[in-house]
Amino acid sequence: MNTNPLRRYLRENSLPHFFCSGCGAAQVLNYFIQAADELDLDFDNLVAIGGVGCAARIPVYLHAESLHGVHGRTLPWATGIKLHKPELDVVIFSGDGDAGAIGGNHLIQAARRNLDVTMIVVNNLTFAMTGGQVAPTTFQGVNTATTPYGNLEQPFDLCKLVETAGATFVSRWTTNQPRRAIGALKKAIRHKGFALVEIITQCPTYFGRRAVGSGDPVAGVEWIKENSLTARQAANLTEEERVGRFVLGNFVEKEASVFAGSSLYNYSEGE
Amino acid sequence: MPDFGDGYRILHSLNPHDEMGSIHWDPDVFEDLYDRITGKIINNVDDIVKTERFFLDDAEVGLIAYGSECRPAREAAELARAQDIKAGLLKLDTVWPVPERQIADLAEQCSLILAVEMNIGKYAGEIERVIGGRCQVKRVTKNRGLVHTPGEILDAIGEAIA
Repeated sequence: MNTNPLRRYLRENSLPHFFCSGCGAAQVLNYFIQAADELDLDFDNLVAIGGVGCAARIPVYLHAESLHGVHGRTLPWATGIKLHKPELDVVIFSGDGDAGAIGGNHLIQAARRNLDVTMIVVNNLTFAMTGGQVAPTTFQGVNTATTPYGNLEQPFDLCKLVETAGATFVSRWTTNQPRRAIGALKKAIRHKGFALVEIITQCPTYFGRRAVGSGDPVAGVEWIKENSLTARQAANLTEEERVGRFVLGNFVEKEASVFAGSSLYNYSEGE
Repeated sequence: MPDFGDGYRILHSLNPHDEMGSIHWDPDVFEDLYDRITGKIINNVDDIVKTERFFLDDAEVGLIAYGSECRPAREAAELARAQDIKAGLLKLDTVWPVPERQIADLAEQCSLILAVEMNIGKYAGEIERVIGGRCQVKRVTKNRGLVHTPGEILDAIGEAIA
C-alpha cells in the first residue's frame, strides 16, 4: 500500500486527527514534519509539548515523546526537561491563548532566560476550542463570541513581546507561505536558544464565521493574505496604517548564552 | 517509567486515555482511567493516612485537631488531666483522605469529642459525619487569625462537660 512518506512521523493510534476541515493547525503539523524530514530530525530525541487548545493537539499526532494537556504550562514542562536532559530537542506547539494569555508570564520568562527550546505559536486570533472567544491577539474591531459588537482591546504582538524579553530567534509567517514557514521552522529547530515562530492560521469554524464573515477556509486564508505585509512594506507605513496587519519575516536571529539553571554552582567543578 | 529520550515515544496526555496513551472520549475509557487514579487513594487509605494519639489510652474526652491547633490542644489535654478530666488528643496529620477508622474508634471510646479548629468549622462536618451520632460532638472554633490558647480549649472542655 502506498502511503505518504511523511506518515511515519505520525502516531498511528492517535489518528484520525480532530482538526476541523480547513484548519490551519493541521497545516502547521504538516509544515513541522516536512521541516523535521528535511533536517533528518531524530524523533527518539524529540520531546513535543502541547498545552490545551486546538494547536496543543499537534504533539498528540507526532510519533515522538509527547506531552499534552496543561493549559499555558508548556514552558515550565520544557524548562524542567531541558535542565534534566539538555541534549533533547524540545518543541512546543502552542496556541495564541496558551502562549500569550494563560501562559503569558512563562513566555516572557522563558524568552528572558533564553531557554533552549523551539516554540511554535499557532495564532488563529481566537480561543477556538472553547467556541471562539476574544483572545489577547484578536484585532480591534473584530467580532468574536464574546465581543459581538467588535473587540475594543488592543492586541498583543507576540513577536515583539518575546523580542523585547530577550528571545534569540523570532519569526512570523502565515499558512499562505508554506516554504517560508518551513524554512523558519528548520532554522528555529536548529537554533541554540529561545526560538519562537508564530504562524498565523485560519480558523474557519469560529474566527472565520464571526470575524471574516465566512466559514470557508479559503476565505480565511485570503483574509490573512490581504492583511499581511512584508517587513519591507511595513517599513514604509505609519504605526496607524500597520494596525490590524500581520508583519511577516524573520525578525531576530542572534546568539546568546542559554539557560542552564539559576544557580552559579558549577557541576563540573563540583565533581 | 522510562525517561524522556529513551526511545519509547510515549504520549503523556491529561485527557482521558487508554492503556496505550491514546486519547478517547469514551465513557468506558474514562471510567477505567479514573478507577485506576482514584484507586491509588481509595485502595491505599491505610498506607496514606497518618494520625497521632496523645493521652488517649484511657481518655473520656477526645480532642480532634490538625495543624497549628494541635499544640494548644495537646497542652489543654495535659491541663485537663491535672484537673482529673481524662482528656486526650487525636492529631490528624492527614486530613484527606479522612482518617475515618481512627475517628470512629475514638467515638467508641469517648463520650464527648471536641473538634478544635482555627476557622468557622471547616472540618467539624467531616468529624460529625464519621461519628454519625455515636457520641456527642462539640465544635470549638476561633476565627480571628489566631490559634486557640490552651486555656481557651481547657475552658471549652469545662463548659462541655459541665
